[in-house]
Amino acid sequence: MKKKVALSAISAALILTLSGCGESTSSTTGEQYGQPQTPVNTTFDQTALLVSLVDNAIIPTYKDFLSKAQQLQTSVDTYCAAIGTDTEASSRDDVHQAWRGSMSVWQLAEMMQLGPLSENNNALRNRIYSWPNVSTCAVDQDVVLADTDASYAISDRTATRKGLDALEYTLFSDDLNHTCTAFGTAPEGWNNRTEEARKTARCSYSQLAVDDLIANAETLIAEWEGDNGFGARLKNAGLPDSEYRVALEAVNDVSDSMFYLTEVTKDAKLATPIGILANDCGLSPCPQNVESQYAHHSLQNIIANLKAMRLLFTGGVAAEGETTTGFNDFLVDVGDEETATRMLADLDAAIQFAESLDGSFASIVEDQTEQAETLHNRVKDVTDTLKTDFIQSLALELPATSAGDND
Amino acid sequence: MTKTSMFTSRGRLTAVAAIISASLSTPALADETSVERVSIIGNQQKIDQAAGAVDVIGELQLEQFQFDDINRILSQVPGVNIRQEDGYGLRPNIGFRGVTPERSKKINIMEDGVLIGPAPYSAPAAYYFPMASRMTAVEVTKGPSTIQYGPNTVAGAINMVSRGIPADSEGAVDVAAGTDGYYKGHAHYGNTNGQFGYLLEAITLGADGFKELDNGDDTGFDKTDLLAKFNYRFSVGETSQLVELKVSRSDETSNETYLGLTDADFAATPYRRYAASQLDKFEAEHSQVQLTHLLETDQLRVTTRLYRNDFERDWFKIDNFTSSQGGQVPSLLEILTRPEDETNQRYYQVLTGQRDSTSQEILQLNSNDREFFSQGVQIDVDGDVTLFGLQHEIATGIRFHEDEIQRNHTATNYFMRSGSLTPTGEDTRATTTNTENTEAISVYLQDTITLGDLRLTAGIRGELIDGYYQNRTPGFEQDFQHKTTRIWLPSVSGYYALNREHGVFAGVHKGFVPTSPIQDASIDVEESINYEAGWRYINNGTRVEVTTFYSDYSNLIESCSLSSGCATDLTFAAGEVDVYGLETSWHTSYRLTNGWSMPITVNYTRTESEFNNSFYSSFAQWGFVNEGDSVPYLANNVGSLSIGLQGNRWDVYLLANYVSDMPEAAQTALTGDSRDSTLAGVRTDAMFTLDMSASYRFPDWGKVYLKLDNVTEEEDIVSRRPYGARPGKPRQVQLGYQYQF
Repeated sequence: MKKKVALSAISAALILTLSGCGESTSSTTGEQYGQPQTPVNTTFDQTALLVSLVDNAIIPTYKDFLSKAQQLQTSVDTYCAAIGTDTEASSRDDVHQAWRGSMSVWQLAEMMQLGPLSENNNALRNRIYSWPNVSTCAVDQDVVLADTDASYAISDRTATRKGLDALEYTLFSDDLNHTCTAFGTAPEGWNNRTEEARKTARCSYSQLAVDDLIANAETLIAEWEGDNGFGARLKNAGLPDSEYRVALEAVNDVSDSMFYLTEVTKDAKLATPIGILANDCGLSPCPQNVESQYAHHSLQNIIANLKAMRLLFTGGVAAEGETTTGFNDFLVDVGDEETATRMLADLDAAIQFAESLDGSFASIVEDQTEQAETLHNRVKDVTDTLKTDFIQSLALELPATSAGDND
Repeated sequence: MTKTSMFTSRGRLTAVAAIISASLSTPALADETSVERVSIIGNQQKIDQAAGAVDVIGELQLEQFQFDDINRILSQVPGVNIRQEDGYGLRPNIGFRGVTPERSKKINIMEDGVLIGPAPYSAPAAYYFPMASRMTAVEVTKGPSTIQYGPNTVAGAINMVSRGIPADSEGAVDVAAGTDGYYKGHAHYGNTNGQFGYLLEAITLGADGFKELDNGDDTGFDKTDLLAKFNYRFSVGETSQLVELKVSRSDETSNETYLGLTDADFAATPYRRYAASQLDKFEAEHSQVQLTHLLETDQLRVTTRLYRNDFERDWFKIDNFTSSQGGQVPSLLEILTRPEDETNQRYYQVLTGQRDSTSQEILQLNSNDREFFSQGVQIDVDGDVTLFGLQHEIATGIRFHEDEIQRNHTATNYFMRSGSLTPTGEDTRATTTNTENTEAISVYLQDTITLGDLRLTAGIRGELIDGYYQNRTPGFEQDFQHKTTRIWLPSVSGYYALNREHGVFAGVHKGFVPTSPIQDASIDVEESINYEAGWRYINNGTRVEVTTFYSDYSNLIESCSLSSGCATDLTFAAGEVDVYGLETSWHTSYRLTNGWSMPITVNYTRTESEFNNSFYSSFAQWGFVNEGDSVPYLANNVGSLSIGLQGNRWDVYLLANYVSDMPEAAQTALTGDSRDSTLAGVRTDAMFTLDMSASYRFPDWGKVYLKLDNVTEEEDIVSRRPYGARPGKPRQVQLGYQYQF
């Protein structure tokens, strides 16, 4: 009995001891645990950075794209009218130039996928440009559908059937046969049409596609502009009623979009066709995996991506008499001028090297693989800094998608 | 009949009696040779007057159906909700009274009174579950008694009771074979010579699998368990004492996958497995050492256990598609839920081997290699004492526990080429490399006082949990967390005997589920207040019990593990949730002519649940939740009917189970938002299964038995998680022979 009472007393004593500590949870964590990290101690005007990014980089790029798309619309109309005439070839060259102009600007915007472009699994972005999810067979089908079905509405169609990628195919492909290989997918009677009829049908479809492109570009700008637009929401980050608790959260949204350079430019556009990552040829150079298969615009796309990175990094291009505020200024303010300088130098080196290359990127991948690898390494210099020094110095979060990247 | 009721009694066991019975059965301590007699016969009065319930499925009841699958065994217990997965019960998903069944992570799983999950605090998902075939009893505790077990007290505990050392020479051999390459070999022998006793047991179990891979490969499993127990009895003064050593080792290889089917393919060929799952394989090893000391006097029992469990597992399986060209890649669940979608079609064709991969449809197979240990010492004391003229039955205990999980996850990319998976040639890469460790001190104290016809019980449990998380990826040394959680969990319950046959009971206790060490301290632990009240009728072998329960969650949490699509365990909170329902059971046995008897048991559980808030959660099983929506994977109606016909030589049993359809997500309909829960508005099939078993005992040469599972060949979708529709077990026929000596 004494033993029993003693043991009960021990338990009771332990209970009382622990109960004195109350009901609670507490923790200590390392600097790298969880997100967000401890904000940097700075007086840097992050709102000025956001204003500069919105007004001097992002919205001007979107507007420039709309302008280029409108030029493309004019060129497509001219080309369609010229089919079968003496000016067909020159009109086709013009429309190609117009498409390249549009694509070069859109490849700047690719680096600016935040807010309306990233919502709903990037739905708006995909309507404008859905690469790598492209399907020329789907476009072939819709060319015929649009030609034969009076109720056809391109705005209701899936992203792989329209946008800049569809236009690249309809405007640049020299092969007028359809590309459908799976049983039951071939557009009926297409290959039996005359060459001119097929050109005309594709051009008519291009007119619908470019109209849709303009509509989507206008939607994008509308979503960004105005007092309630996403641009204003970014600029008001941290103010009362803002969806962002602090301005740094909005800055983080922009920095997330800059990781396009890592995940898409470096990996998908460079490492994959080179054979650093698995491609359709295994692990060897594979020209068929470059981005632009018909217009051979892949290298220009990569250069545009790098330039967009530079644009965001430096806060865009200011109106005359005004100054910009960029991430480089932020880095300098927090005492990491070395990263600011090095990143800019690496970016310039990568752009300069890319611009020094001759020929299509597909031919470079195939015939000058070392050059392609060098470009990959130059871009990697930038992205390595982006996800380490840049992120750490500014106490930003890595985007979730980069957690398991291919480095 | 008498025998049957003896082994199927439903009632409360006092905690220590249950724990003692779990691991010890010695002639010196009591003149019993089986766990059931210690637990039930010895405490029949307490059981009948229990305030709350413990359900015990005894050895004879387990033998009736020769189930290897714990899911099928527990279908005979009211208040249990189960999500089936592989048909064999290799990795059960069990919940009680509405808590998530996902990997049984919210209930305490014990073997012989000791936590047996791989790392119950650090990583509670039960990827190891004791082999049900070698157990002699399964005990289920719900309600206020749960506070004697931890750390999880919201739902309850399962205690798997392994075979005890017999008092005399005793052994048995059991062999069986069946459809789909099923085989079982099971043997045990034990004896007690003077003060020494021992038991050796081995079981091997396997099947070729009932699923059919597109390439014809094996989809089955092989499991082996080896167990040895040794004990030594002695007396010191007035105390009887016993020391017992238990060692066991088990291994498993199963060609199991997370990949299911589209609904259309399920309708056509429910047991098909797509080509993309051809390399999936689960391999595991488990070892256990347990040293127990029992000291007993006339009024006091002290049980001390020292335990160490090691578990290693590697599940190599398809996890997702990846694209080396970037772009959005749909999840496997999305592809199989909407295979007709234009984007999903090509992925579906690759999964089924109809189409070769391009660089956009690379298959990522993950090797989720994990090592666990769980060790500790626990002391349980119970006894009777009279204080201030009142009789007290006191149960108390303390446990020092440590467990750990080391994750060494890697991923390897494959192409689908002509129906076969071919490595892309890229290096295998690390995906998750971390450690979670927990040291916990638990105490409980429970006192039962008898006041005439009223038995009042009050108890309290304390948990002091120190968790440590460390990312072991090079360069992430500062990614760590030390977390301390303290909590007290009280309970009060009572039983009032209206007369000799009728009694009523009620109880309330605090429920708790801790968060794992990796979870941010700002995420609240799960807490609830659980109420129950019931009526019990016992008369001449007939037992009827009706219990109503209400679990009032102030914060319901769910962890999203790999089986739900997360890279590691992440915790999500839903805030206030109500779960309530009614459990009923009725058991009787009719005596027939010529020595035949007919035992009948009927169970029915009605459960309702509702979220009390509208919110969005990225937890895949919730999504956009509106106030009033139901908790997923909780069937409203669950029932079972068991009928037997027992004679001198023949026994025949039928077990019918019904589980109503269940929501696969809390979100009730798609909204068009990209964040929708993929399975919003989708429900599992309502399931009816009929199992049958029959045996014939030879006068001197053992018995033969025949069992048919799923007699009516039901082909129901038991779940669409982790990825796609999954079937239950098809009709299986097994023929066995058992000889005892």
